Amino acid sequence: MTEQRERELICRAIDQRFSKKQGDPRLAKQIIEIEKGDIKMKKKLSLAMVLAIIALTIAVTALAVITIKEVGRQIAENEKQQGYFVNWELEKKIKLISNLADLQYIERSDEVSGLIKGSLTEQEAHEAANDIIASFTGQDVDGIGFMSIMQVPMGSVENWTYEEKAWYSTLMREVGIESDGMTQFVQPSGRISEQEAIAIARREIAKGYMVLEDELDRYRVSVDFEIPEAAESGNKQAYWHVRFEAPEDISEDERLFILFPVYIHPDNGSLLWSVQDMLSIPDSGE
Amino acid sequence: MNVVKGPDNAREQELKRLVDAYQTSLLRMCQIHLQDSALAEDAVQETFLKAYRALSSFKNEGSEKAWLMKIAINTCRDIRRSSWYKYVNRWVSPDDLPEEASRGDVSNEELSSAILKLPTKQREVIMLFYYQNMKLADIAGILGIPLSTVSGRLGRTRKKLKALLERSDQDD
Repeated sequence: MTEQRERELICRAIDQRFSKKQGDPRLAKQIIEIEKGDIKMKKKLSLAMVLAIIALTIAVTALAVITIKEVGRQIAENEKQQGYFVNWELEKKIKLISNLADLQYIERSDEVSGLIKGSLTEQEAHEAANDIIASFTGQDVDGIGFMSIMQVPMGSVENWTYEEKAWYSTLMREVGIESDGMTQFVQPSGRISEQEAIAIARREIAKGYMVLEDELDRYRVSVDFEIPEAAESGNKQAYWHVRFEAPEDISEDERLFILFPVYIHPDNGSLLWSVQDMLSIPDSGE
Repeated sequence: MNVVKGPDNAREQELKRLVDAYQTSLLRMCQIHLQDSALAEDAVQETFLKAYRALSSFKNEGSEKAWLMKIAINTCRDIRRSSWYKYVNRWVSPDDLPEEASRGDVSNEELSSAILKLPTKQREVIMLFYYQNMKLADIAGILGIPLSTVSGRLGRTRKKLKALLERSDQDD
């Protein structure tokens, strides 16, 4: 094949592939305007670039989530081996503080930097680490454990999502801090939604106390999805755990109870323990 | 090409002539180089902007085409060096999909796909030699490499594409 023929074939293949891609008739005018400063040069954002930006954003977000959960695992494992933070080896204390600083939950103050760099004696380093974590959690260092630390970056456990609570239970089980017989939070499943579970609990409590459902309007409601710790051994069925809690400003005479928990089956809406049964237990709910 | 040192209007006319003459072929070359339509458009705009700024200093020693190609290749290389370019996976880019394909164009599509999959250095040589119809000496000047290197790259690339070229030839 001649060189000329090769050229024809290659040019034809390229022209055909990019035949829709024609020059912009306004290009010369745009360049003159850019040069005169009338318009700014605009970079086009390709679809590939947009996808890359989205992918990077997701990756960075995912990385942060994974990392704080990895920190959680680190704390749980240390706690399993050595108890509360105050009893940890220095190396483990420094690693945790360094990770929290990397995640920007702890400011890299001179004290933190000095600790991480290893410029303190062992005694000084222990004291600095204890001070830093006490300040971070706002608690006395003697009682600082997994929850004290993790609730700072993740917020109050009461506000954790179902996914976060399920992660916590799984982690505790995997690390060996909690075992069967303890409450296991799991991801919600079944036909009954959270709102339906609350409605069932409200109706059943009102019926059990023989009051109108409106009476429960003042009570604070919280919900979990869990395998109850009080369930019979071997029963792995998860339930909606709906709690009605009396507000602090309600008098003893007025209130029906301080706290009333109801467990609702997520598929059929039945109660694990009926309100009547619970009320028949002496001092139930108080 | 005329050396333009006159008033702005003359430079503007010269720019318009260059854009009309080379825009489409530069765009396709940049697209093959960068494998991204939007970046190729940026590269062409940048190329002509650089050319416009340098019009008055352009010396009529070589061809204007070789001059523009050199600017375009360097611009594409700059873009390829950017961190964003490295991050994007070109091979899954929708820009890489054939824009026009029909049953009768299979060999053309295979050939253009094969060119797109060549290493960058071989793609540069193929585009300049075949698509821009440039002499080996000019290509050596544009790419800043010895003539023997250009010749070697061209020979190796030709071998890679030989079977597809023959098939395209037979399909004609």
